[in-house]
Amino acid sequence: MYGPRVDDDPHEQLHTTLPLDERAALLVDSLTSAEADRLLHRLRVADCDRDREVDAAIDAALSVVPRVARGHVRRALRGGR
Amino acid sequence: MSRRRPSLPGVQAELTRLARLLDCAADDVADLARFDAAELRALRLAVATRQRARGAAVHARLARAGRLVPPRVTASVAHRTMPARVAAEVVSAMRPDHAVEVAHHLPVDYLADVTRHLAPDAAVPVVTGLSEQVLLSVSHELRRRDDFTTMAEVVTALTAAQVEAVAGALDDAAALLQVALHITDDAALDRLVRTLPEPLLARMARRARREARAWPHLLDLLRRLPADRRRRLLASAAQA
Repeated sequence: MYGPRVDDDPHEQLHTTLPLDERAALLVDSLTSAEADRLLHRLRVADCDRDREVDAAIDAALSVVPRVARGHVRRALRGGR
Repeated sequence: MSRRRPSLPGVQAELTRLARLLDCAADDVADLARFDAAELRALRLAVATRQRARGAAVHARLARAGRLVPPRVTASVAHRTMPARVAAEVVSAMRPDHAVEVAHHLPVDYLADVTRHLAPDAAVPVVTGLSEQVLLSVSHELRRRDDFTTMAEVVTALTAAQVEAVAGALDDAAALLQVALHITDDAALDRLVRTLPEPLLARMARRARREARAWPHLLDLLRRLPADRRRRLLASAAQA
């Protein structure tokens, strides 16, 4: 009754997070819980790093775009944000 | 029955590539070294696909913005403002012909940095579209850095004619042996071994013979050749 929820299982989360083919799925299933947990953690940290990197790149790009094109580029880069 | 290799440069190459995707040191994923290179490659490609899908919308916007100005300006802005990894992800969202145009305006060292992070499926149409001059410059730069992990991925993306051009220009048996040992895609390895001229393969064989660690892998490579060609090469290596 108080056991871990299925969606807390790091193997299960890797299966739902990554588009695994048969070979990669077997690898994930062979990981210990600690290894699967570490891999999941690294994926999440890398996601945050990437988001920050892209945001910084957009800000930097806007600052160097020639003035004549800046309006177009700003609208194109920011999209719906 | 599958045979475990006695030493595993392909495994190390895949751990390095996975660590690059996960922003960590290869040592941090060393607990995965018990898997073989093909399994690790499958995991790495899944991680890369997922990361690209996650950032697809913003990468597509950056790619569209790149079309609003001439390729030379796009290249200059990318070089001045974008970490190579972000640029590599934007390349995945660009039309390959546009990515090639922009690539021809980038400095070689930055292009080599971007190549390091390029996803294999995005790399194929871009790398195969590069002029021979740019391709050779990037290859020489990667060789200068001893970045065989990336060179192996580049070779995996090249056409047979491009492999021949790069191998001929490098004319470096030691480097090509390392590149071959870092390739984890079977089809690419077949293409490389069948494309390399025999004198160069013979030099690679002689080199591998001197490096005990490389020898079993070279035998694995030579298995891909017709028997008569394989025998000639082994005889040539034995005489060295």
